[in-house]
Amino acid sequence: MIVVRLAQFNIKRIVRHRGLRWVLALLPVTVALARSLFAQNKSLLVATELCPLACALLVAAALYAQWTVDCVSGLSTGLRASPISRRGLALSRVLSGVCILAAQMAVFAAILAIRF
Amino acid sequence: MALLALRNVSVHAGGTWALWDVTLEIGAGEILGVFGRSGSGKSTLARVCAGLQKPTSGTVIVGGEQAEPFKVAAAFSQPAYADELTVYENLDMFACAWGIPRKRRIKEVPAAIERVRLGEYRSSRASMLSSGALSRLEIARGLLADSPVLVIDCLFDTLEPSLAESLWDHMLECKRALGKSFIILTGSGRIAEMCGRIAVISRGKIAFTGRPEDFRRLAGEDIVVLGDVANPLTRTRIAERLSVVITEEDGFLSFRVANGERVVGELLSEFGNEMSCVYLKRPSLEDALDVLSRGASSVAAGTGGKK
Repeated sequence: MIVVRLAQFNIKRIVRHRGLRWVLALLPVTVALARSLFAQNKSLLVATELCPLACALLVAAALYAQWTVDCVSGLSTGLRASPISRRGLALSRVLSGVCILAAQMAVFAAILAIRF
Repeated sequence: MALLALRNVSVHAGGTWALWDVTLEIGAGEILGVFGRSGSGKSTLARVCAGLQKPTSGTVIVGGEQAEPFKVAAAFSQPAYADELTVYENLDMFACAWGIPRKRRIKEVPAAIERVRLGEYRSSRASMLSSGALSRLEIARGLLADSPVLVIDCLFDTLEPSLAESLWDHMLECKRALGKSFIILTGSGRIAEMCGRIAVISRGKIAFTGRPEDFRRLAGEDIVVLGDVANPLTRTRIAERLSVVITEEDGFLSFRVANGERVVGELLSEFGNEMSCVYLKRPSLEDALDVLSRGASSVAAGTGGKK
């Protein structure tokens, strides 16, 4: 339960981060919109297939960047000083990443499902 | 029984010994001050106590040899916070990491915010806070933690005195009611004097353990300075009456005594009309620390006050 709650806080942090928020939202939305508008384009077909992988990599990069910043700022130290294990902390970050990726994929699929 | 015990702990970091053969114990319901200059090893000691840094040698025993170990809470001089979260959310996140149930968090987080006087910033993002407010947030984070021992690393040094006093009262209450113990790391003699027992750390070694007043004696006795004694005979009479040796320096008469406050009281009542003023200079803990680092036997006293 603690892991889930920490993951919630992590999602909040990513969503409120100006840069990360737009980067994470723009990729699936742009690819899905382009694919919907230009359905015959073969390059866009490949891009659509690769988009989930790209989104996963992007989320991983965002989490890594966040972790690096936390290590420098002292937040990681503060969290490690609490009784939650390192594994629990890592799991909460992974869980938040999975949730964000799921949200990205939901938006991606929803846009693709729209017929213009 | 000691709640937290460090036995012959040494830490080698960055090519130097940050701590050397440190042996310390803190019992239940005790406030231990660790007093030392910047770079003396206080923060390393805090990290070792909190279990964030493993000692190169020696042992750290948490909770006594028989009892179940617990996690020591720590508030560091570099505040831990998430920029994107509000003050409330930051504390809620840490309380959550400490496994505090929701019902308690709802009550305790706002109380902690009020305690460090951050009420008006409750919904502000942590990135908007000043460094002073962030220090207070860090203290609140430490006080929220569900641990019998809390280490506070130099955060009291920069607090405004009234807030420091009110937090101190809260700590005394926690100590009395819950048997909580506190390790206050500080570079300020004023804060160290508030602790029941201090350990003085110098160049990574514990140089003194005991009561603050005993450590202050290292800097020598109180100095009483007499201002403008009109009658030369008064000097002799004072010397005879108090059995002290009066010396003259830069036109001022002064003498050293163990209990300056009592002597000044006597002087004022008996010779008050024969001199314009009396100053009492009491050596501070910083003076004693100077003596310790220089290895000298005596220093000029520091803080003064007009009587």
